[in-house]
Amino acid sequence: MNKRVGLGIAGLALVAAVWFVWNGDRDARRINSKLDDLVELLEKREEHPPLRMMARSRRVAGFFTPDAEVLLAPVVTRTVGPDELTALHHYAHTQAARLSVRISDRTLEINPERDAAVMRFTARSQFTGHQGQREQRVDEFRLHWAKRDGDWLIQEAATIPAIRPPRPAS
Amino acid sequence: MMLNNTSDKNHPAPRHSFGRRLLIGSRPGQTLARATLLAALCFVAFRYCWIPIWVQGHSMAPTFRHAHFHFANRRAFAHEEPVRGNVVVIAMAGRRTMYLKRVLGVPGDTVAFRQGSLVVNGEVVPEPYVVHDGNWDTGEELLGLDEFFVAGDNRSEPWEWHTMGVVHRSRIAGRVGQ
Repeated sequence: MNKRVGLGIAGLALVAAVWFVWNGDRDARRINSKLDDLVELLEKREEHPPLRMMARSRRVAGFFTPDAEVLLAPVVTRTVGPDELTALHHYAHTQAARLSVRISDRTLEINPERDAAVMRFTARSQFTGHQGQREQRVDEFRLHWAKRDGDWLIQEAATIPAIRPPRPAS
Repeated sequence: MMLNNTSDKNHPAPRHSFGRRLLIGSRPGQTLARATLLAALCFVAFRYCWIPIWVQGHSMAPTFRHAHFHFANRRAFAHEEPVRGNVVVIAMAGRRTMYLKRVLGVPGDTVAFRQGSLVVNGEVVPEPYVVHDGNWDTGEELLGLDEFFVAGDNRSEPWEWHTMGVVHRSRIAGRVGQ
C-alpha cells in the first residue's frame, strides 16, 4: 500500500514538474514572440501609405498595459505612456526612410507566480533619413512584463545607461 | 570466432576525391577528433580568455579604426584593477554588443574636461593618443568606489553626442591591447 502511495505521489510530482516546465516555456516563448512582433513593428523597411502607417503606429499601444510607463532616455527625457508612444512611433516613421532594430543578449526572468517577468537586452537601432543621413544608437533596455487576462503586456520599459554621462560644466 | 585480417594488397584502401580528402581527410575519425578538440579549445578560449571584437564606429579613432578586428583579454582584470590609459570593453545587457573606451579616471579621482584638456585631480593630463581633439567642457565627476571614468580617443564631435562618463567596475569585461 505504502509503495503505491509513494508511486502515486512521485507520478503526481512528475506531472506537476512537466506542467510547470511546459508552462514556463510557453510563457517565455510568448513573451519572446511578442517582443519580436514589437521589433518588427518598430522597424521600417519600406514606405507605407499614410493610413497603413497610422494603423501600424496604433498597434504599438497594444503591446503595453494602459498604465505603462516608458522612458527612452536620452532620446525622450520624460516618461511617456502608450498613447504618446504611438505618436512618437508615427513621428519617427514619417521622418525615417529606413529604421532597423537588432536585439541581442536577451535575458528573461519570470516570477514564481508566473504573472510578471523582467527582460533585459541590448538594442542596436539605425535610423536613415529621407536625405540619406544616418544615426546609429546602441541602448540597453529593461522591460517589465505583466500578465493581464492571459496576455503578456509591457508594464514598464526603460533604457539603462551602461555609461553615465558627466554633468555639464557649470 | 575468427576474423580475417584482409591484407591491404588484396583490398587497397579506396581513394577518395581531392575535395573529400581536403574536407575530412583520409581518416575521418582522426579529423573528427581534431575538430572536436579544436571546438573545445575555441569554446574555452573565447568563453574564459578572449573576446573577439569587431569595431563599429569612430569614437576610438585613430587608435582603433572602424571595421577592424581585435581581441580583448578577459583575464586582464582578474587579479588587478584597470588603470588610467587602459582600453577596455564595457558590457551592456550581455557580451555580444559592447563599448570600447579608454579609462581616464579610477576610483577616488576627480575628472573633468576643460576646453578639450583632460583634468584629473586638478591637473591637466597629457593624452598622446588623442589626434582628433575638440573643445570639451564638462562638470567635475568625483568617482566613487568601483567607478571608472571612460571616454573615446576621438574628441572631434561634441561631448553630448559621445558616449562617455562613469561606468561601474562590474561592466568592465576585458582589456584590449594596442
